[in-house]
Amino acid sequence: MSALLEVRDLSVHLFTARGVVHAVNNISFSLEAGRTLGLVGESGCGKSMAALALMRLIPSPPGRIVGGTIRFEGEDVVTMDAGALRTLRGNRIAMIYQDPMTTLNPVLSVGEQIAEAVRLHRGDSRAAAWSKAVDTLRLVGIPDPDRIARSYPHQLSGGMRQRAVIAMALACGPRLLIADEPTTALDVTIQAQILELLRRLQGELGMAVIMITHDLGVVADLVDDVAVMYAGNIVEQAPVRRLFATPRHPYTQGLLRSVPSLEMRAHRLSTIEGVVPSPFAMPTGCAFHPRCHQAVEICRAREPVLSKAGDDVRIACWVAAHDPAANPAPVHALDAS
Amino acid sequence: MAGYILRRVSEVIPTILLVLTLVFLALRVMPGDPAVAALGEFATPDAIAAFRDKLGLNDPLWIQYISFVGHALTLDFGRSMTNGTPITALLAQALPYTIILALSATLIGIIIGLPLGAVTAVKRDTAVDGLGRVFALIGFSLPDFYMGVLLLLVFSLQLGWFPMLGGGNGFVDQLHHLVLPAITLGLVMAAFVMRLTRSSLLEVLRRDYVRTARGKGVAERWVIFKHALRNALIPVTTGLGIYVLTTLSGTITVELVFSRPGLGTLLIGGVTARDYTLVQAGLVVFAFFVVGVNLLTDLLCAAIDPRIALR
Amino acid sequence: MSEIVLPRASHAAWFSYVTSNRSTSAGIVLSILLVVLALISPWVVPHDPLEQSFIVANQGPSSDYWFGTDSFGRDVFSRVLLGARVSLSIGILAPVLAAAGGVWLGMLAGYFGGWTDRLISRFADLLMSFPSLLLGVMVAAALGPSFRSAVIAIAVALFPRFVRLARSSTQVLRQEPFIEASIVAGRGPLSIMQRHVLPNIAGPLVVALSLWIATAIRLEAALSFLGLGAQPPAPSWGNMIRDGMSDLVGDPWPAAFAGAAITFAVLAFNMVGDALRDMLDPEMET
Repeated sequence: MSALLEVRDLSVHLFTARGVVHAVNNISFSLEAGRTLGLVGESGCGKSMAALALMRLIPSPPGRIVGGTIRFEGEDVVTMDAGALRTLRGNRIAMIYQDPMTTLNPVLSVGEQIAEAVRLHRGDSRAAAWSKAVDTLRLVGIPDPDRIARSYPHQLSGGMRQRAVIAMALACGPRLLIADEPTTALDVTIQAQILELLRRLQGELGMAVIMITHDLGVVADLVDDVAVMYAGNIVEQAPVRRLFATPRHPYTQGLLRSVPSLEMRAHRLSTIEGVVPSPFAMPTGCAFHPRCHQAVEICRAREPVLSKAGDDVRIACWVAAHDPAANPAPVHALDAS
Repeated sequence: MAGYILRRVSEVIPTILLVLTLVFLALRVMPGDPAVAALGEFATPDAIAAFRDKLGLNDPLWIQYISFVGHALTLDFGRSMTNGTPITALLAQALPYTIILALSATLIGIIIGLPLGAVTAVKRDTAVDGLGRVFALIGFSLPDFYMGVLLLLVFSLQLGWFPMLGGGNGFVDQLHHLVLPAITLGLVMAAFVMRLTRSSLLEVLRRDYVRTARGKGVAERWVIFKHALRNALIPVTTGLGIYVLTTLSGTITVELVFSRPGLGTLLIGGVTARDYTLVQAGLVVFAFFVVGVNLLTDLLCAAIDPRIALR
Repeated sequence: MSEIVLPRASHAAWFSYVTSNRSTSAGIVLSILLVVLALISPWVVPHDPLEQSFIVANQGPSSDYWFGTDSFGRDVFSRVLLGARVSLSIGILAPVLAAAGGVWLGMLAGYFGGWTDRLISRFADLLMSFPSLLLGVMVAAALGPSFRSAVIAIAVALFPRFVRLARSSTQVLRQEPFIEASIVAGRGPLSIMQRHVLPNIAGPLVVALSLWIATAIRLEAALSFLGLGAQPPAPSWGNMIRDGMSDLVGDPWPAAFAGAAITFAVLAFNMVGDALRDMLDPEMET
């Protein structure tokens, strides 16, 4: 059975006045129906670009998909014609974004923005579409959905707005939901609510989810598999528990080590030395090698390829992939629950 | 929304009072004695005194003020000092020419400017955009009356397609006389509208909600028309009010170019002839127009952008 | 108006930007040329601009009379040159005056806030709600047509714009910690405005100034076209068109060339202003 989504060698380049940025550098991953993948990394690692690429929403100029395939339900999104693409967007794949205030159109009512998608993809009449919009608002936990549907975005609170955005994405029952940092712009208490909502909806509707975030805590709770990105590459991919228990890639290890826990008795917080390289001055070979304690000669010379390193685990590292014994230390273990 | 409308309308009253005060003061500053200007240098002191009495110029200033404001608000402007005709009649004759010119020019400006602005924004940095840029540059730099002179030279004097002066008699003839002046002002306005629409639309197209609309599968045409343009039109509408007013003041010079018997001609004629009461009336009427157009613009903006009414 | 605190680009950077952009250079060259011409015009005119001669009247452009002659036989080219003096001096004087008054009032409004602000803003808004030409006509009509009333009229029309500009910049700067520090150190408000606020608004001010010089030249042309500006026989571009109207059929040259002169002058200063604005802050609204 082929996966719902199969990405192969996807590359996105940004053509700027200062040079070409390899925002997404030959990444590959797949996602089965109904499963959740977490795409994790720091700001600028290319995770958002990768997400936008899945529906060909890369802002162009300056960006462009320069290579690779994105197979969704068997069809390649990269080579799809405009009509097929429009049928895909908002319908079979939907996306929710980071800042709900700027995501929603300020001069249209919330209900209208949801109903528009319904009318577009289901051919419903105005009345039927409106009614579906109200139902969807109710589904995402908005009280008094009739009134909210008639309201404008600026009249709602941040949490409500994000729920509305989620409603807009779900209205047509997509098979895949891409969530790009959906809680980053929200207050902490609202964050928890929204994540809970997403978890519930995923269970109820059985859709696949790609959760993009820089927050490891979000990932730990919500996803089945994790792909860690660094400087445009996927450096490690594993089921979530395995990743947290035994991270193999030096970057992942560094990431997890830098999350403090209550049991720690260290005096200093652990960090990863060095800084993320400028997109205009990428190191040769492995992008992480200047900051990696385990780097060897080949790391500087050649880019590592993402390859299998055990069941369900893939790593892009010359050192870790070939020698499971080379990085033994698990980071602090998670609860087994 | 109703509250906003009420508030905005009630603001008109102090504004009008302020404006009337300014006009009043401005005219009292005018050098020379209006009586002398009207009656001539050789008029007898008695005649002058009687004239001033009739105009109320010997009353204390505050009485003059109240009388002025009262008359202005009831649109009673007295008689022209040049020929004694009731000014209201003169205004009634002249106003239609000015209003129709201003309205047609605005219409032409919007019909040409809006689509041009949208197209040059969507097709940015192509040949169309370049042409648009040139058009805008010309529109900004060419004085409107000079454009009128050029159009007059070419289309009226050289080609004989359009009449050279006047307002025309009869409906069709009046339309015929309207064309060149309206195009003159309309083209200038189109340049402004085009530039504003273009920059506004470019700004809006960068926004997140445009990406959201595309991400929902909305066709590009609708992304622009429904999602982007409506937001882009907000600053355009604000600007529009200003440009309508600029066009209105442009009628003053263009009417002179085409010898069109409108409000501007009346006003300037009054200034040249030192016709005190006429100038006063002309200024007040223009001022009323300004306040009115500003009010309409604000209300229109509130209708388009629901956020404004809540402020 | 957007952020005012400017990055201090080096003079070299500015210079290279300015010379690299073709329209900027063209604009700057043109405006400098115009100003210079205007200044030296009385000495470079090929013919006496006031000398009348019916023999050569109503001629088109020729090697002797580059722009032709008008109905009185006066050389149009010389008159255009001389007209530059009037038009440019009013066009530059009026905005400078407007800036001198407006910037201070604007700073006062932005600095003190409260009633000062409300009063000044209301007044400026009221003036601004009137189209500039109308305002100019009103003032010039009230004061009687002359060179001086044209300057005052245009200055009045442009003045509220400077007030607005200075006010919003000052408001933004007012929040900055270094202003608080100055106050605590004992500086008086006027001194603060002079030392801290003024240098920071210099950039937008220069942009505004050149764009509004263009506007002022246009306004002056309109006012003298209406007969409300400098009076004949001294030529100004606007009144050359006015005089030319009566003989348009036989002798379009004075009007045509005077109008072209206006257009070029306005274009030149517009280009300079646009280029300066792009250089300093591409998102600034004026």
